[in-house]
Amino acid sequence: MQVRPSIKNCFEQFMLNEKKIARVVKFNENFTTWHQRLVLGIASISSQPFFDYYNKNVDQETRNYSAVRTVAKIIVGTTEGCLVRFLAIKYGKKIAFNWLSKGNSKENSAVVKELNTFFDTRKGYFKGKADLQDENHNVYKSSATRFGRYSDKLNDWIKAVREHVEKGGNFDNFNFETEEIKDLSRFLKESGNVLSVASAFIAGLIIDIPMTNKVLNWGMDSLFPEHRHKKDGENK
Amino acid sequence: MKTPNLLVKFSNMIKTEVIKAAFEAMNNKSEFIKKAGIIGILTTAVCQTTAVLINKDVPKKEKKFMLAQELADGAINLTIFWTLTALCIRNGRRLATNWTENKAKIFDQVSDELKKETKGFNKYHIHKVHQDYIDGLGTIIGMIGSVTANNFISPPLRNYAASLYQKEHIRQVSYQQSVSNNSIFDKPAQNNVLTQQKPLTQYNNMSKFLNQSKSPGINPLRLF
Repeated sequence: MQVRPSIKNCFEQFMLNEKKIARVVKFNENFTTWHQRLVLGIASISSQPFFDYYNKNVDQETRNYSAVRTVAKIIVGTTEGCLVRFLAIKYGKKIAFNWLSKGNSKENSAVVKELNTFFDTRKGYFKGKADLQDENHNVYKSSATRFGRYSDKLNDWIKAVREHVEKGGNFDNFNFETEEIKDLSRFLKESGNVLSVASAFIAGLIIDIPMTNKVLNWGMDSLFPEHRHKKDGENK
Repeated sequence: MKTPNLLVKFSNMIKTEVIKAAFEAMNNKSEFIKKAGIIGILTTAVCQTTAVLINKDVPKKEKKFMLAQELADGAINLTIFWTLTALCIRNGRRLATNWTENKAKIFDQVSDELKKETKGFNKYHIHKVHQDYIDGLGTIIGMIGSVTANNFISPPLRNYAASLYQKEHIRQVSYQQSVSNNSIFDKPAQNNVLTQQKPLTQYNNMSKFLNQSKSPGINPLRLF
């Protein structure tokens, strides 16, 4: 008798093929904070102003102000946020690479120690991971010592990356034949991501505040001029 | 021996923290995305509240509403975003872990698939592919959760909370105005609360008021 597959099983079958898994893995590698800001910004502008404009708990004038302000906030926040994050990731990679470039020097000891902790031990991808199995119970062991000591290879890697960049290559893809270099590329990308969050906070304080007010005032002047230039007494 | 100065120590501390966070992001991207979103919401809340406060072109009543809206947005959005995104990430990761149980072979094939895409690259580690898949599904479902929280759940809630605050503000302002304008006696007869009542009730109320004002400690002249 044929068993009717459930929706969950269908979805599982749909998701579990090589190409889709590869796509998800690639997505996870390449998804950065500026992509996140863009997704949230697009979703925000397509929903939030409508909630504000059709808010029946307040009067029409407040609704207009609130909707225009939300649009101004989203446009300014998304544009500034995406741009700052994108640039911070781009230059953050170079900054992180410069940190590594100092190699095993004394002043770089704190950095090298962190790198060693990550690459030396199982604290990397395999922390607490069990061995994988397939349907026939064949075991795929997780290797404890995948990389060896990072600091031993550091100078060679830096040299290789420098040569690559000097030849006109970029920081996004090193395309070397080892997984360690691929991980180094990923590490630089994630460092850029971390720096982008910090720089977006600072840039938000400097750019967001004046720009939102300017766009709000401009928007109100051009869309609802009847609400503008009233004295406070008229609006109370 | 030279001791490293404070600046070097500080810069080393920042470098170490950034590197730690970068490794966390490598291991667990979905959690990193959640934290980045939370910092983003906090940044927006701080910036927008300040922007409303310093904008002189917005009338007072609208300003009160928008200020309340921004504060409510920050608090409600943060709570809902945090909760829903964390829930979605956890469930996404759990779903992927359950699906991929005893299916190591497929990741070997995926590893080959990825190898084709990257020129000159030998092979991805099977465990890395497995973990990235779990993490990736957590990130995708987490993003769906965060978009829902940010754009469909918190806006109506924050608007409702802000409108309550605005109504309370309007009530207080009109009460203060009525007290300062001495509205009971100054306003025309049709608006006067006392005149709308029956004559007997009016008389009783007035006598009650006068009796109260005779009690020690209350000076009727001070009230008006």
